[in-house]
Amino acid sequence: MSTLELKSVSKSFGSVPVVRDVNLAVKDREFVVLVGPSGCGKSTLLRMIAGLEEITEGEVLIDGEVVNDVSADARGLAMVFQSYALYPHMTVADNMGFALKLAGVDKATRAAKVLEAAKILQLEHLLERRPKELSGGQRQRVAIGRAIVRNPKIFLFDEPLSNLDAALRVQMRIELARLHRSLDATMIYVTHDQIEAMTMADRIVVMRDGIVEQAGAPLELYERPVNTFVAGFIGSPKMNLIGATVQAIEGNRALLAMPGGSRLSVEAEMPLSVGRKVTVGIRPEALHFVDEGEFAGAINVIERLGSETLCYVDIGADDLVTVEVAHDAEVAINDRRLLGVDNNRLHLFDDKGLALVRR
Amino acid sequence: MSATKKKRQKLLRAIVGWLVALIMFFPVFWMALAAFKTEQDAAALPPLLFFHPTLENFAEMSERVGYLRHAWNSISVSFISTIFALLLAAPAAYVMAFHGTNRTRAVMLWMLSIRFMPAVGVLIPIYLILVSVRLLDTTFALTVIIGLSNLPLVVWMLYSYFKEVPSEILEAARMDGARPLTQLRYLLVPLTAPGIASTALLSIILAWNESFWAINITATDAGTLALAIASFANSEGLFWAKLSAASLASVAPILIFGWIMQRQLVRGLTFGAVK
Ligand SMILES: Nc1ncnc2c1ncn2[C@@H]1O[C@H](COP(=O)(O)OP(=O)(O)OP(=O)(O)O)[C@@H](O)[C@H]1O
Ligand SMILES: [Mg+2]
Repeated sequence: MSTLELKSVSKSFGSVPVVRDVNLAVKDREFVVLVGPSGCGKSTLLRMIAGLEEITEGEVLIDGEVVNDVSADARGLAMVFQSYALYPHMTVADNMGFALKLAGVDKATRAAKVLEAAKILQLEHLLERRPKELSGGQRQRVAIGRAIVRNPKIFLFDEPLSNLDAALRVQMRIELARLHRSLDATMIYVTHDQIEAMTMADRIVVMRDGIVEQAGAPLELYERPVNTFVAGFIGSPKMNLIGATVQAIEGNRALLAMPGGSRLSVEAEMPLSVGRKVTVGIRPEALHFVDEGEFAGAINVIERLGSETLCYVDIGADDLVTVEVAHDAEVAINDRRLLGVDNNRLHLFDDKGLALVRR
Repeated sequence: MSATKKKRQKLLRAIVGWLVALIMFFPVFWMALAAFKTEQDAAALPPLLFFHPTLENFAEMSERVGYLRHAWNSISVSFISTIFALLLAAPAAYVMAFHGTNRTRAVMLWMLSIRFMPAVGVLIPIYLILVSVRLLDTTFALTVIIGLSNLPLVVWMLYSYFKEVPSEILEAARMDGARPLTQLRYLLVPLTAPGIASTALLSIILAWNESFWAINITATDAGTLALAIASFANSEGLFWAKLSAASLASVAPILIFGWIMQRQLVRGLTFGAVK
C-alpha cells in the first residue's frame, strides 16, 4: 500500500545539473520503469528516492509524506543494485535476514521469512553458501530475496539484470513480472534496455539528460511518442526517422519530398504548409514492399532473424531505412523496391523534433 | 650463456642480501649474548664467543629498576592507547572513506603533517598542562598522549582498508536499515578485520617503543620499560652485561609478540580482496 510522488525534483553535482525538474506520481502497486540512455540520470533519480543521494531541489513524498530529510535507513524501501552488493562475509540466509536482524525480529521468525522468500526464488538449497560461491544469476536472486524478505513499501531496482547473459535476462524478466503480481508491490525499475521497459512496465518514464521526455503506458509510448527521441528510443528495431519537406498540398493529402528524390503522399490532417521541414517517423513493421508508388530504394543489407526478416533499404537518406517483412520473403541484395506506408501508423515531427498532433 | 649468468647474478644477490642482513642483525645478536655474560666476560678482549651463561644480570637489573612494574606499564599503555586510537579512528575513517568531500584529502594530509611535527615542539605546553591538572607521571596521561600521537597513522591505515570495501555494500546495508555504527560493527569491522589487526599491531609496537613522552612526562609510577632502560643506562653506563640484559628484557616481549602476530601483519598489509 504505497505511493510515491516526486515534485519538481532536481539534482546537481556541484554546478552540473543531472536531474532536472522531475514530476512523477507512482500509484500503489504500479510497476514504473525509468528508461533512458546511459548517463541520463536514472540511477541518480532512483538513489534520491532511496535516500542515498541528497535532493538538491524539490520534494519526494512516500505515502503522502515528505521524506527529503528522512535517511535511507529509515525510509523503509528496498533496493536491488546492479552489482548485487551482497555482504561477502555472510551466508545467503544471513544476507537475506540482515534487515530483519537489525529490526530486532527474533531468530525463528527471521528464519521462517527467509525460507519463505527463498522458496519463491528457488534458493532453499543455497541458504548456507556465501555470495562468492554463487553464480551471477543466483547472486541476483539473493539480492532480490534480500529485498523481498523486508516486505518494503517500495522496491527499487537499478539495472538488476544487466550483468546477466541474454537467456537468463529473459527468464529473470518474466520472474520479476510474476513477482510483481504475486507480491502486489510498488516497484520502480531502472534500465537502459527499452525491451525490459516495454515488457515489464505498467508505465514507462523515458528520460534524457535529466529530463523526463515522456511518461505513459508502453503501448501509448509506442504509438504516440511525443518527440523523435522517444520515437527512436522505444521499439526494436528502431523507428525510421527521415527528414522531408512538404512539397505540395492537394486537398486532404500532402506530398512530402524525401531525400534521394522519393516522394511520399500522406493524409494532411496535420497542420502542414508548403515548404515546411518535417521528420517522418515510420516503424519498420509499418513499411512494406508494394508494386506502385514513388517511395523507392535499393536493399542494402538483409537480416533474417527467423521469425521475420529485416531489410535495410538505401533511399538516398543519411541512414538506411529498416523494413520488416515476412520471414520467408523473397528479397535479394541490390533489389530496387517500392515502399508502401501504412498511413495511420505514420508519425510526423516538426523541425524541433516534436510530434505534430493529428487534428 | 644467459642461464648461467642469471644464476650467478642470483647467487651474488643472495650473498649480498645475507651479508647486509647479518651486519644489521649483529649488534642485536651481540647484545643478546652479552646479556648472559658476567661483566668480566663481557668486557674481555678479545671478545668471547663461548662462555658460561648466567642469569645474574637479569635478576639484578630486574630488582634495581622494578622490571615487572615497568613492563606492566608498557603493556597497559600500549594496548589501551591502541584501543583508544582505534575507537577514535574508526568513525573518522568511515566518514572520510564513504562520505568524503573535496576537502577530505586536505584534512588527511593535515593530520599526517601533525604526526611529522617534532614532539619536542609541544613538550613544554603539554608538560605545563599536565602539571596544572595534576596528571604528571600517570599512565592515564601517557596513554592519551601516545594514543593521540598514533591517531593520524591509525586513521590513515583504517581509511585505506575501508576504501577497499565497495560503497554499494554499505549502501545496501543502509537500505536494510543499518545506521553508521551498525555498518561499522556488522560490515566494515568483519570485512577489514585483517587490516584492523595489522593496524592495531603497528600501533602497539609504536606505543611500546615510544620513549620521548615516557622519559619526559613519567617517572617511577607510570614509567614504561623505555624509561626504565634509559634511566638504567644513565646510572650503569659502563656495565655492558647489565645494560644488555635490560635492553634485551625490554625489547624481547614486543619482538615475541610481533613474531607471533607476523602472519596476521603480512595478511593485513597485503590485504585487499573483499570485492
Ligand atoms: N557522484 C557524482 N558526482 C558527479 N557527477 C555524477 C555523480 N554521480 C553521477 N554523476 C553524473 O550524473 C550523470 C547521471 O548519472 P547516472 O548514474 O544517474 O546515470 P544513469 O542514467 O544511471 O546511467 P547508466 O545507464 O550508465 O547507469 C552522469 O553524467 C554522471 O557522470
Ligand atoms: Mg545507472
